[in-house]
Amino acid sequence: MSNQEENPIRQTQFSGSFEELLKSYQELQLRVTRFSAVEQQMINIRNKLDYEITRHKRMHAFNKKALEDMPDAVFCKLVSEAVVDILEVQVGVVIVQHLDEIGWLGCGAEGAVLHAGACQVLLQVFLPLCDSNTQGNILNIGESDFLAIESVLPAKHAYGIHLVDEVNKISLFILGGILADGVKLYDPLDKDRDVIFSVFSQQVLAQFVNRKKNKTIVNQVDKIETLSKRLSKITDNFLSFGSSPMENIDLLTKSCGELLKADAAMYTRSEKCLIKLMENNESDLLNHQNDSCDLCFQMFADKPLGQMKHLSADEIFIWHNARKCDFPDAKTYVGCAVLLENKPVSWLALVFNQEVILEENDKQIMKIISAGIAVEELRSISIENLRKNEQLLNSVVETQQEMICRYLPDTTLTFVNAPYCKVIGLLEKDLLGKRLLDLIPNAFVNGVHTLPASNKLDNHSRIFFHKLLMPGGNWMWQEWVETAIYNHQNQIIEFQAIGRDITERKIAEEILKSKMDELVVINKKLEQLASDNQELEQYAYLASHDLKEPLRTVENFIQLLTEDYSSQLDAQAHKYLDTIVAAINRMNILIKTLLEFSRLGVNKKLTKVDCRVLLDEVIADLNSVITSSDAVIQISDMPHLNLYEAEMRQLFQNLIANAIKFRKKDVQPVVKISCEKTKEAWQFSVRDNGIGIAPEHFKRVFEIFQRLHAGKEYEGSGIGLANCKKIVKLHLGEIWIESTVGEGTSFYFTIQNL
Amino acid sequence: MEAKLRCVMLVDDNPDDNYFHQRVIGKYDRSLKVISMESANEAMAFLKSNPHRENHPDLIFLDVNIPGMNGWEFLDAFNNLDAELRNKSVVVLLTTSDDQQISSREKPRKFLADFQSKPLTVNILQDLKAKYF
Repeated sequence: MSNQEENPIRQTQFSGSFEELLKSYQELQLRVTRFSAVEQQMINIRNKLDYEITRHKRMHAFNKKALEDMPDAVFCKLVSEAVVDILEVQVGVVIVQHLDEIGWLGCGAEGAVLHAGACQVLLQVFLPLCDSNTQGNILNIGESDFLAIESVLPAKHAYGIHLVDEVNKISLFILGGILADGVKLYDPLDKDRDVIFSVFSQQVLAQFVNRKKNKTIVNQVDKIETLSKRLSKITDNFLSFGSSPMENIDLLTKSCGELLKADAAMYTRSEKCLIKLMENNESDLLNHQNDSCDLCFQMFADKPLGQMKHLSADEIFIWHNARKCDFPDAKTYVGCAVLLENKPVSWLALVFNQEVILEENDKQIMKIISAGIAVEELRSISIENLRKNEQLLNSVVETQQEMICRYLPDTTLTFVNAPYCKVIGLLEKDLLGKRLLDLIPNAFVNGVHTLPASNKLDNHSRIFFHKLLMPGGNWMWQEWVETAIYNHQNQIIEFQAIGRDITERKIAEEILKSKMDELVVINKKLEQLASDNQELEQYAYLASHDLKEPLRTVENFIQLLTEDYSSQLDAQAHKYLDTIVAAINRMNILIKTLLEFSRLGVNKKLTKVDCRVLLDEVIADLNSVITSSDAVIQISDMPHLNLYEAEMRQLFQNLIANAIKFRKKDVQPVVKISCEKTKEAWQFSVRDNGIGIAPEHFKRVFEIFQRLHAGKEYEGSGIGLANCKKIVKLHLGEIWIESTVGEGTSFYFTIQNL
Repeated sequence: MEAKLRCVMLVDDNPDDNYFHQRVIGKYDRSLKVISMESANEAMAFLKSNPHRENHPDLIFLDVNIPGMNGWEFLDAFNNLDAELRNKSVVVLLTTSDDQQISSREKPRKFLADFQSKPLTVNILQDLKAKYF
């Protein structure tokens, strides 16, 4: 590029001859003419450009497509023609590259748009010549360099310039070619031409910059228009929503596909692996690798896990080279998580059959639709929950046995369930709207004196019972829980009553009550009996005590009679007196034993007793009897028990004495005493080898004053075993006999460890 | 105490017993004076009425079960007598054996000398004479 100092016009000197001056003038004239021509050309170009721009701006209003495709090519053609004129060459070429877009646009003077391949070939030759140092300089390219590009640029020499606008990212390459057998030979020293070419080129670049700015503005306006149209489409979708969330989701998915011009749009709840990955659950993804059901998984299954760890739920995912999926033509897969409470729950996906770059707006639209789907999903969950609750409530209300009804304060029924209808014997349609009071015929009402109060209810609910005569003629007891239902003003608007058939319970209660009454009577009888028994014992005591007094008087006066009148009485009279005395003695014994029996246990005292020691003491007490009868007493292991010691001593004494007393003549008496623990008690036995007892007497021997033998043979009062029985009873036990006449008797008794 | 046995009082509602016991006492010592009382009230009234007469009882045989004032009540009343009067007599309960058992439930009386079972015998009298006179 020339600077001001080197400007050829300013350097011209007026010196020398006229010829020289003339020559200079002519030269100057020629140059002025040429500059004028150039100026004219530029004006023409600018006019043409203005015209084209105006035209294409107009075109834009009618035909957006033309605007998008045409201007660069048209403009390049115009510039190419201008180059041919300015440089006086046979062929002109313009190659323009918008550095932020792909590809070059080339255009020859003939108007043919150079295809990308041709551009490439030219640049391969020229770009090495146009590095950063030569940028903006005029290039003169000789014949040798053209060999490679002859087919593209049919010339032998070329004259060119390379300009770059870094700010607006435009690279411009303008060439003028001279054919080998050129009509005109271009002058390499023609500096004016260089200047003109330079200025021209700068202007062309400026034009491109302007055009690009215009185009950007137009594009932005266009994009805004498009976006607003898309948004209004989404809004339309929202407005045309139906009641079914799934249908609405389908609608949203479909419109997402349409708006982003995808080849397929999908909504799925099964892109599990990806959703899990977003929740940072890597193991799920690994587990999932054998399962190829999910579309996105199919695509990223062969990617290393590390690449996916950065996934975040609110991002839009784009996979190019989406070869693996079910869509054979797919090139790009775009997915977006649907979030509920910031957690991914489902997946919105688009498939494109070509490589696609999504703009920010597209992503925004996808997110808006995803958010719309989330709302529908939420609604779907709510609806499902509502439906489940309703089902649950229905099943509870309909399947339970309780009668349920609702009624207004004037008792008009608003709801009845199946058991209620069944009990009342009417259909639901016949019950609703009727007044509860009117439904119960007077004849059936018994005890329904607590019918719902109009609108007063304490504690919001109450329980009442009533008895109804059912249509079948049976009585039914019912228990009702009545609850008030309030409105926002805290007024009772309705009542709900839940009732159950408690007839069986009532019957059971009645039976229980009558049983309880019986029990009370029995208890009273028992108490009476116990008291009677005590009275009887007291009576026995008093009777025997009082009997003693007159008996003693008789005894005393017999003595006086004998003392005072002995000499006056004959032998017979003495014999009578002896009989009277014997009877008195027997009477005394009877009274004494009866007294003992009645007083048995009155002073009882519980102590821990070693039964073996007790038995040893009893045997010692019976020593004289044992010695005289030569009896053998065998005692097995004995326990330590809590007993009434004195009474128990008497029991053993009676039994052992009995065993020896009722021995067989000429047989050594053997008495075996043993004890064993049974489930409920301690069981003792006292066995002898004596005369035995006949089975018919087994019970009688325990009765008071019952004797099986005449006085003289085996003497006794007949009270011993009665005492034994009473002592065993004191120890909450039983006593019984096993015996064979002539072989021996076993007395068994049980006692509790008290 | 004037350790001389001259007069015996029998307190028993049963006149047959009193008669018999009087005979036993007579058999023991014909010189002893015997006073029979069929109620404790009567006996107590006698003791209070004339403390200085000749025949004040030196020995009293007292039954327990007596209609009106019983033997125990008699003993309480006896305890309230003047010491001089109280010291003149030895009181012995003469009861049936069962009454003795019951008496074990009563609180002990300071001026009760002894328990004896009916009927009274010469042996009992000899023992008491040896013990208290």
